[in-house]
Amino acid sequence: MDVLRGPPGGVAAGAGLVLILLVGVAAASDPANASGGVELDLQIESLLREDLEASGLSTRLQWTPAGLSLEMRAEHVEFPEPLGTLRQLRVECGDLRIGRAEIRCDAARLWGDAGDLHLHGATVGLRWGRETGEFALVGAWPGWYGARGDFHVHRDPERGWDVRADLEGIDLAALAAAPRLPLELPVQLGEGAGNLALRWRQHGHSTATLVVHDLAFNDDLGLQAGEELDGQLRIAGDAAGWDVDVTVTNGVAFVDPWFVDLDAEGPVNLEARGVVVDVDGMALRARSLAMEYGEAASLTGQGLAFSPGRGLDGQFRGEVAALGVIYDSLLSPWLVGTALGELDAAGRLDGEIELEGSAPRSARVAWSGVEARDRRGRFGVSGAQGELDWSDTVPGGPGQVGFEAAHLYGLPFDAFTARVRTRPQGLELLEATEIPIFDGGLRVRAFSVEQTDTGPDVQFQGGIRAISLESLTGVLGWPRFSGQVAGMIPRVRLDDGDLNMDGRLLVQVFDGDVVLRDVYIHDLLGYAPELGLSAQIQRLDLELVTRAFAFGRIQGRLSGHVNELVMVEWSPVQMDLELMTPTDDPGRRRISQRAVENITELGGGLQAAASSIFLRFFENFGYRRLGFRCELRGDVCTASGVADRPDGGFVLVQGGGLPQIEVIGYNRRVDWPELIDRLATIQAGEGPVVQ
Amino acid sequence: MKALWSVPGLTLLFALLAGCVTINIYFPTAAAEEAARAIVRDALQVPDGEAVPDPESGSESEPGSESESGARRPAEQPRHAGRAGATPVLAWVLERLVSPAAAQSPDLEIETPAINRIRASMRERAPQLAPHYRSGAIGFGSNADVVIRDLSEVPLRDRSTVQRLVSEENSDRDSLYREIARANDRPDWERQIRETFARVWVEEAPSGYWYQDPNGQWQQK
Repeated sequence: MDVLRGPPGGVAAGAGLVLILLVGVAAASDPANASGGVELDLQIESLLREDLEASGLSTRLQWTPAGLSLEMRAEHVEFPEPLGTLRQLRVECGDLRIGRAEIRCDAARLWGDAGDLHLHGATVGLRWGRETGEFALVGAWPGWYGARGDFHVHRDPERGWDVRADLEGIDLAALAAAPRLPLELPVQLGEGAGNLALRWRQHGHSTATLVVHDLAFNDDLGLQAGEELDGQLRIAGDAAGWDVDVTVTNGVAFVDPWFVDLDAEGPVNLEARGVVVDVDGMALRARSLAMEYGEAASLTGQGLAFSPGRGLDGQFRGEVAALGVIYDSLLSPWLVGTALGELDAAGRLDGEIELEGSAPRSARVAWSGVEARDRRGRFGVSGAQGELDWSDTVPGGPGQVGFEAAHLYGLPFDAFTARVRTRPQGLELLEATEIPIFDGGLRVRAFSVEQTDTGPDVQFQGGIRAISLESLTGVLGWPRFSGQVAGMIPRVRLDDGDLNMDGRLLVQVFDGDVVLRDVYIHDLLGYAPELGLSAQIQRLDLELVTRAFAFGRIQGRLSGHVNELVMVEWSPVQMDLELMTPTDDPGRRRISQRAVENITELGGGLQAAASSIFLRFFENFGYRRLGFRCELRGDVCTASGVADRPDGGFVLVQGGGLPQIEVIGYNRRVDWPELIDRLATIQAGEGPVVQ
Repeated sequence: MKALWSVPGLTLLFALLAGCVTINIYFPTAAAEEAARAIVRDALQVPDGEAVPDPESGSESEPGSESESGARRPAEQPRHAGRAGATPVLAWVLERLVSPAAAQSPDLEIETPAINRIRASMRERAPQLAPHYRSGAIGFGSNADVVIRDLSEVPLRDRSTVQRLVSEENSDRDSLYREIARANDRPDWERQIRETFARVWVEEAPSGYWYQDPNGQWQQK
């Protein structure tokens, strides 16, 4: 099988040398015997050795007066991954030097084809210690992946492999697309250049620093993408644990749903210490972790462990120094579509959390100076501060929440603090408190909220302490009138998103009483929050009412009810209203000329039976009863009065005494917004002109 | 004797029959479809697109020029702003066209303050979503929602805006279906209302828009 040519004297030495190079078995050789031109060809069909498999080998050794030269060829060599298969391998060495201690070739040239990678006469230096068994390969990087630089591979039988490489201008897109990359990236790299400084030791400390410029990446759906990214990845350590440092300094990235502009928000840093990766189980452990998001936030973690089956374990501590920045870039994309999705936020937040199998076991959070303003004007809070301590098994330690000022749809709340305690599934109030509203307040005797399988279960007991109506009506944009609202709220239920209030609220207004019951709020922070209630109205003093609404002057009392009132944005969209002169003790009943005119004007289609000229002679009229009923559905109010008339009209004011006046309406379908507009016009002093 | 036997027998028979009686209030499919169509046309603002005269649009908003691959360059923003400015007129025309139809469907209430607000919000968002429907970045999901199809062609800085628009639109749509069910005192109809809308969104979409078939596969109209 072996074909040998040349003088027999050189054959033994040459063949021995080939075997030494290819098989790695030490053999005696004596280059001193070489004189004149000697050539030795050796062909080996195939060669198998540990993790090396080669076939079609041929070796030519030439011994000339100038020195020893060697050429080796292999049609097919199988190296361990990631080197893989190499075809048409050719090694030329023109200056082979064989000494007692080592064999070296300082300017060997390599050719080969590895499919995606090629060697075209790359120059390398080879050295083999005959006694020590050391092997060294040094050379310039053969231009693979657009990079230039040099590398140094050294193998010591005791210390194993030692690889160094300093490469510049690596085409990261080409590298990422290379089939020999051991991991599959979830994104495609569009462009990007990298510089690599690698020092890898098989048994010992290794480091790798990859500096990346102008990196762009994108996934199939464009949900993960980055552009113009600059950063650095540094990995150092050994099998006992790796230290990983990642810094991204410039560029923009979108990782659904988050968009990060590093140029504006500062660099993102990540440091992990003592990372151990179990490739088979996809598990990962780390002694510690530290992350910084510009100046805005930082996160540290201890004792981290992750495996796909178990989830994440670890203790984390976070600091958010600029809540506004974190809200805008990280929280708001996640909260969009919820009530908290459109805030202008600021403040500071610190927290700790312990995770076991991705589930929180305990947490502590404290916040201060928090400002949050809903851009749709629904609510706002300023100077919020508090701290909470939570555990998943027992009630947490005492905490507190409070704010300097807040509002809900313009209804203002003054400074307030409450002592609270978390429960594994909720929160409870530790002692009674009061949220000041104008001169009164919302008293909270007991409050708790508990997450159950069917939704949050709210327990509330408290009441309203005398809030003056003068301020309240001002906030609601109603005509101002005095009075107060107070009451007990024995229970609040949260039912399918609706907040239902048990108990009754007493509104003392216009020297009468209005008792509110069945109060509920639907979709409080939605598009059209709905306030519903029913009310019993008892003996309002009409003189005070008409004065408040600048409606002329009516003396007398008014009682009635409003059932199933539904208000959207403080305007009724549905109700059954009835207001009448009470039958018992109706008191003095007089109505001024202007009030009659206003009622006439208000009705639009209402008609005064008394003639206008007649009216002008009298300032006041007596009346027996007056009243108004309205069944409001949407914009249409179906109206009626104290009595119906055979001609289809209805009596709004029934005269009494002389001169007698009767106000009769004929239009039973009244446009409610129109009615309100006219009321506003009358209050603005643009009363009707009676001719 | 026989009569005596038959009395309890008949009673039992009637009891069984009575036990089997169920009262069904059927979902008003036709009315729901009509209501959904009115709302969808209003929200998409593209019914019979070119046929609706648009006095403010002028030559700039010709369908041809709008559907060019552009709509992504910042330089085109003013043109979109101009388009948005023309919207109220279009909305006004539609509102007038659509209202009587809705009013003719007494079986399904869709005129409540909450529903009107949600519709107004969706109408306002429509001009911002339209270029992304046309480019195929987003499409109609099989669950009557909007789904991101491929953001690759959207500039990176705009992707979170698209995502935000989609999330807000879906939040509005969820509220819409829930509120229609609630307005009709049938919260249990929400699922059927959603199914009706899922179908109508696709039917009313202009050609070129993308939608997911029941298997979740993307199809282009």
